[in-house]
Amino acid sequence: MKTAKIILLSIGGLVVLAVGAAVAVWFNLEWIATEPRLKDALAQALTLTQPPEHVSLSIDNRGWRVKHIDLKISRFCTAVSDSSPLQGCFNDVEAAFSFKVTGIIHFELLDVGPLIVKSEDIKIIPPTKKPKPDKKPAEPFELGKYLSIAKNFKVSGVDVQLPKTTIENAGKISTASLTLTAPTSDLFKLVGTYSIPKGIQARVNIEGMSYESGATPLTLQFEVKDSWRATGVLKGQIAWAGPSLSLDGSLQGKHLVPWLETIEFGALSIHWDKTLTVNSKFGVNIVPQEIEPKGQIKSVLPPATLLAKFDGTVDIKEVPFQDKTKYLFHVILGPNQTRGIILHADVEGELPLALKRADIEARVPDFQKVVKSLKGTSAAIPAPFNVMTGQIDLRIGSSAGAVAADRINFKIPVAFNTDLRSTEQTLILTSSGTVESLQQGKEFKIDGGTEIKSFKFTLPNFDPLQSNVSLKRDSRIQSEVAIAKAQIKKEVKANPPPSKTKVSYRWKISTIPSGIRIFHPFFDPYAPMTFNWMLASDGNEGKLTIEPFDIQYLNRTAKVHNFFYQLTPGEKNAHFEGRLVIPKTEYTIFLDVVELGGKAKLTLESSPPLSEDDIVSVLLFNQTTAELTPDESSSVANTQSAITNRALGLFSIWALSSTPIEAVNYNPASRVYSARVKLANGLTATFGTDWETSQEVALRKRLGSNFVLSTIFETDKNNTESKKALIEWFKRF
Amino acid sequence: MVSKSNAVRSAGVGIAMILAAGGCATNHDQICGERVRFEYKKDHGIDFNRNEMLLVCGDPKTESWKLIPLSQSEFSLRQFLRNRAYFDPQFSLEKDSSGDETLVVDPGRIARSTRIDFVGTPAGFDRVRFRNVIGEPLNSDLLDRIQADTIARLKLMGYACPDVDLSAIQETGVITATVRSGPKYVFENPKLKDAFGIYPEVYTRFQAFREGQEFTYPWIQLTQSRAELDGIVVSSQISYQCPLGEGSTHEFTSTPAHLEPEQQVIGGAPRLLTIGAGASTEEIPIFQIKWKSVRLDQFGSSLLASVYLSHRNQKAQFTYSDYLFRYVPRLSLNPTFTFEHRNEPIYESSEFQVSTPLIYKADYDTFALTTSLGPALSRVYSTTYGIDLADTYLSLIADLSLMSHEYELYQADPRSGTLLTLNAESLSPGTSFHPIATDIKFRGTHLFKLNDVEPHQWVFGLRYGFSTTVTSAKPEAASILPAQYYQVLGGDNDLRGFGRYELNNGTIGALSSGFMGTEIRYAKSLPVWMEPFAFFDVGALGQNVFALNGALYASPGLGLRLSTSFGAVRTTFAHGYVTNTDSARQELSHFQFFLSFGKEF
Repeated sequence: MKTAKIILLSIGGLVVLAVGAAVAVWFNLEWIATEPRLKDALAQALTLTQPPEHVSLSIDNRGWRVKHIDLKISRFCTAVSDSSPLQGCFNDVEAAFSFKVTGIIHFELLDVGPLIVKSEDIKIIPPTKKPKPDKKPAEPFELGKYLSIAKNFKVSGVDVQLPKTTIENAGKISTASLTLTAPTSDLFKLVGTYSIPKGIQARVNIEGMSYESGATPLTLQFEVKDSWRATGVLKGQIAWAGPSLSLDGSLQGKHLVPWLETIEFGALSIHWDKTLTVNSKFGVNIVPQEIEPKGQIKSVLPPATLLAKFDGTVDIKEVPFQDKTKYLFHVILGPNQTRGIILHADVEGELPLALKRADIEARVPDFQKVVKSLKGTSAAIPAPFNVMTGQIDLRIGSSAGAVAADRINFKIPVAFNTDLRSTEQTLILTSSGTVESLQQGKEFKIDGGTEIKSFKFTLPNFDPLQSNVSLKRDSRIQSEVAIAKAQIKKEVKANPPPSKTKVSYRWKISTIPSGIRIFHPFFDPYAPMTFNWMLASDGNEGKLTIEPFDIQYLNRTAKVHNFFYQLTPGEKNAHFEGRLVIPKTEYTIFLDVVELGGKAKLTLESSPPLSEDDIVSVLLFNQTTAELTPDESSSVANTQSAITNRALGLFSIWALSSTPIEAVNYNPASRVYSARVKLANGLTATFGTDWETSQEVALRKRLGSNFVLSTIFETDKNNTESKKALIEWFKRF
Repeated sequence: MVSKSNAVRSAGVGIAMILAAGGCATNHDQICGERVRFEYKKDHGIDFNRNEMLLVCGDPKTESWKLIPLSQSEFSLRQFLRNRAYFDPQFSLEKDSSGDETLVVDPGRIARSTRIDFVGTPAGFDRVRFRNVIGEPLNSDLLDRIQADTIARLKLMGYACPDVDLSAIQETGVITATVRSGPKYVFENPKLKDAFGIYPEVYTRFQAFREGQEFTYPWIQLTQSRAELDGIVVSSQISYQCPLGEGSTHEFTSTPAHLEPEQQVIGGAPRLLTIGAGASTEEIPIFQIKWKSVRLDQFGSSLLASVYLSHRNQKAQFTYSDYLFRYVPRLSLNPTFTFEHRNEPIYESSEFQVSTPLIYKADYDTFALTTSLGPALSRVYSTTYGIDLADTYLSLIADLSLMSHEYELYQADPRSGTLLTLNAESLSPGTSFHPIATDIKFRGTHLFKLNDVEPHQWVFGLRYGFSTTVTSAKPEAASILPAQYYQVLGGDNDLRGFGRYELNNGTIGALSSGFMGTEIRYAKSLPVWMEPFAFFDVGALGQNVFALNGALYASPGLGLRLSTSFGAVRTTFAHGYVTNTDSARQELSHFQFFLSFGKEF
C-alpha cells in the first residue's frame, strides 16, 4: 500500500514536473529556439553557401494561449542540392506572426507582419528523383485541419520582393517575379509576373485587402501574352470565414485557338465556397470561316464567310461526385444570325464530358436571305435552287428530354426539315433521327430517316440534237497530283488504319408516291419517281421507281412504264428493269430493258407482233423493212447490230425513234455508233465521231435519203478494168 | 479593245475574236451579255454549244434557270474548258462603275498529247503507228479515237474481243493505253437469222473468209459490203458474242472458244431500180439506169437490165445470173444479151452480143479468185477511117481475176492490195469456131502503204499491163478484125500524158501494147481532203504479136485527189513524151489534163 502510494506520488510528481516543464518551455520557447539551433535547422533545410550571420527568434507571450513570433535572418545564400531546390541569396528575412492555440493541435492565425523577404536572383530547380515505388505515398498535408485564420486577422509590414526567380524544370526554363506589399491590411498589393522564353507572360495584380469585417475585398488583374493573349480584371472578396471567394469582372482572350478571334466573358461571376460556381455571359468573334465547295479549285469569286460573332451565357458549378469532383455546365448560345441563318444552342452537361441535354438549332426562316447573302461569292446558291423561297430547319437535340444515359454515353435526336418552293420547283422534306454515343464514346450510332414529301425539279431545256453537256470530268485524264493522291488513297484503302471510333448508321430516305417530279419540256407532264432507300453502314438497299409518264419530242410520244432500280443486300448487281412503249401509226413498240449479269439487256416486242428488224424499222422510219429504201434498211441493220453489241441504250433508241433519222451507222470494229439526223432547216447533223471514218471503207457511201455513192468496178473490152463512181438514186419495189 | 458581240450566244457560236486595232496581242469576246469575257493570249477561239451556254448563261425562258450565279458559270466553264483540254484556265473578276461584275476568262494553253505508251499489246501491234494523235488536244474525243483505233487494229490482228483502258496525264500529255487483247480467234461460218426465202448457202457466196481461218475483222466488213453491193439484200450484218468477255486473259485450252457469229440480213423488196450519174473528162457525162430483180429462185439467181450512157459509150445489157447448185453457190451461168455502141477517136462500132459465161468465184485467206469462161456470139458494125465493117463472130471468152481482199475493201479509198487480171477472147468469124484472132490482156495493180501508220499516209502504186492480139490480120482500117480488138494506149487508165486511145500507131492500133505506171500519193494529211500525188507512166506498142518495138511513150505528171464525202475527185496534169521516133510522132508530145470522179489508180 505504502509502496503504491509512493509510486502514485512519484508519478504525480513527475507529471506535475513535466507539465511544469512544458508550461515553462511554452512560456520560454527561446530556451529551445536558440540561435545555434536555428542556424543548424536552416543549414539542414538548405544547402547554404553563405550562412547567415545572425538568426534571431523573438517570442512574445501575449496571454495564456497567444504567442507572437518574430524570426529574423540576416543575409544568407543557398545552392541547389538533392535536398534543396533553392539557389540564391536572401537579404534580411523577417517573418513575424501571432497565433492562438484553439485546440490540442489547432491554431488560429491572428496577424502577420512584419513579413520581409528580399532576394536577389533566385533559381529553383525541383528535384527530378522519383519516389521509390514501394514507398507508400505520404498522406497529403491539410493545413486547414491544423490552422485557421482569425476573424480579425490583420496584416502589416509585409514587404516581399522576389525580383527575378528562374525555374528550371525538366529542361524548361521560366522566370517569375513577385512583389507583395501590405503596410496595413487595407493596403494589400500583389504584383506577379510569370514568363517562359517562348513568350507567355502572365501578370497577376491583386490589390486591396481588408479583414476587418471578415471579408477582404480584392482586385485581380492578369495578362497573358503569347501568340494568344488573355487579359482579365476581377473584383471581389475573400470571406475568411469558410473561407470563400467571390469575384466579378470580365475576361478576354484573343486567338486562344486558331479559329477564335476573340472571346469575352462579360458579367463573369466566380464564387468558391468549398465548391466552385461560375456564371458568365460570353461573346465570341471567330475568324471568318470560308465556305468553299470541297475538292474544287479555288474560285475567283470572293469566298463566303460564315458567322463572325456569337454570344451567350455559360454557367459552371462544381459538385462532389462520389469521391471525386465534377463540374456541371450549362451553355446557351445565341440566338445569333448570320447570312440569314439563325443559330441557337442550349447545352447542359458535365465535365469530364457527359452531355445531359442538348438543343442546337440552325434555322433559315427565309431562304432568299441566304441566297442574297451569298450572292456574288464563290458559295452562291446555284440554279435552279436559287429561285426558291421558304425555310430550312436543322435541329440537334431537343429542349425537352435529358439525353444522357450515363456519363458520356448519350443519345441526341436530330431533325432536318425544308420547305422550299418556287413557281416551278419544291423541296419539302422532313428528317428525324438520333445520334447515339456508346462504349464511352468509342462507338457512334446514327439512326433515322428522311421523307421527301415533294421534290419538284426543273431540268435545263437541253436540246438533244446538240452535243452532250458534260459537267463530269473525264476520269481518264488526270493531273499528276491527282494521280499521286489516288495512289495514296488506294494504299490507305488497302491497309486501313485501325479505327478508334466505330460509326454505324442506318438512314432511310423515302418519298411519298410520286414524291419526286422532274420537269422538262419533253416530259408530259413530268417524270414522277418514288424513292425508298436505306443508307446503311452494313450495305445499302432500296428501290427507285419511275412511275409511268409520257415523253414527247418532235410530236412523237413514248410512254415510260414500270421502270425500277433495286438494290438488294448481298447481291452483287443492282437489278433494274423497265419498259418504254412507243406508239406508232400502225404498231405499238415495246422496248424492254432488264438487268442480266450486271448489264442491260434490251428486247424488242410489238403489237401486232413483228420481227425484230421490222420493229427497228418501224421505230426508225415508221414502216416495216419491206417498205424501206436501201439506205434506210442499212440503218435498220446497223441499229440492230448496235443493239446486239449493247452500243445503244434504251433511251438512245427512243431518241432515234423520235428524231427524223436519215441514216444510222454502227462500226463494230471500233464499237462506235453514229447517226445523221435531218434538221428542220433542211440541213443534217451528224452524231458520233465515227461517221466519216466509218464511211471511208464502204463501197457504197450513203449520201442521204435514197442517194448513194457507188464505186463500180467492171471490165470493158478495151480498158480491161474500169473503176467509176456514180451518184445513184435507189428504189426497191 | 473592241468586243465583237455583247449578245448571248446561241449554240455553236464561235468565240474566236480578232482584235486588230493597235496590234494588241490579246483577243477577246463576250458571252452572257457582258457577264463573261474571254481573253486569248493567242488568236484562237472556243465554241460552246447551246446546251453548254444554257448552263453558263442561263435560260431566260425557264424561271428556274434564269439566274446563273457567276460562281456557277465559272464552275461550268472550268468543266467545259477542261473537256476541251484547257486544264489551267485563269479567271478574274472585273467590276465596273455601276458595280456589275464581269468574269474574265483566259483559257490558257491547250494541253496536247505528247506520247502514247501501249501496255500489254500483243506482238506485231507496234508495227503500225497511230498518226494524228500526237500534238492533238488532250481531250475525251482523242482518247475515244485512240481507243477505237486500238480496238480496230487488234480486231484486224485476230483478237476479236479486245478491251482497252486509257489514261492520260494532263501536265505531260502522256497517254497510256492498257491493252487486254484476249485470245486470238478463228472465223466460223455465221448462223443466218433469216434467209428471206432462199437457201442459206447462197449467202456464203459473199463470204470473204473461210471457216477456221484466223479472225480478221475487215473481212466481215467486206462480206457485208459484197452482199449489199450485189443487191441480193439491202443489208447484211454479221455480229458475234465474246464467249470469254472483252479483254479476257483466259487462254484457249484444248477446246477453243467460239464467237458464234450471227448474220442478220434485211432482204428488202426484190426489185431494185438504180439511176446514177457521173462524169470524167473522158466520158462526159455518164448516166446509168439499172433494174435488177434478185432472189428469183431459192438459189439466189437474179436478172439485171442496165443502160449505160456516155458520149463515148452507150450500152444496154440484160443478164440472167443463174446459180445452178445449192451447195456450189459460187458457180453461175450468166446468159447475157448486150448491145453496145462505142464512139472512140479512131473508130465507131455497134455490137450485139449474146454470151453465156460460166462464172466461178472463190475466196482464200486474203484474196478472191474469179474465173469466167463462155462462148459469145456477136454481130459487129464498125467504121474505121471511113471504112465500114459488118460481120458476125463467135468467141470464146475467158477471164481470170485475182483480187486481194484489201484491194477490194478499200476500192473507194485505195491504200493497199493487189489486183491481177487475165482476159482472153478467141474470135472466129461466122458461127463456126475457126479462130482468126485471140485477144489476150494481162494487167496488174499493186498498192503499198510506204510507212506503217494508221491512217495511211504515203501510198505507192504500181500498175502494169501487157496486151496482144494473136492474129495474122494487120492492124489497118481495112482489117477484117474490128478496131476494138487491136491494142491502143493513152488515157487515164494507162498513160496519163496522152489522150484517150491517142497512141494507136497512127492507124487503128497495134498488135501488142505494154505499159507501167507508178504513183506516189500523200494521203490524209492535208486540209480540205487534198491528196496530192506524182506519177510516171511509160508504155510502148508493138507491131508484132507478143513484142513491143518502136517509140517509147512516157508521161510524168502531178495530180490531186480530193477525197470528199461525196466521192473522190481526181485531176492529173501530165506531159506526154515520145522517144526514139520520127517527127510525126513528136506531135504526140503535149500536156494532158484529166478530171475524173471516182476513178482511182
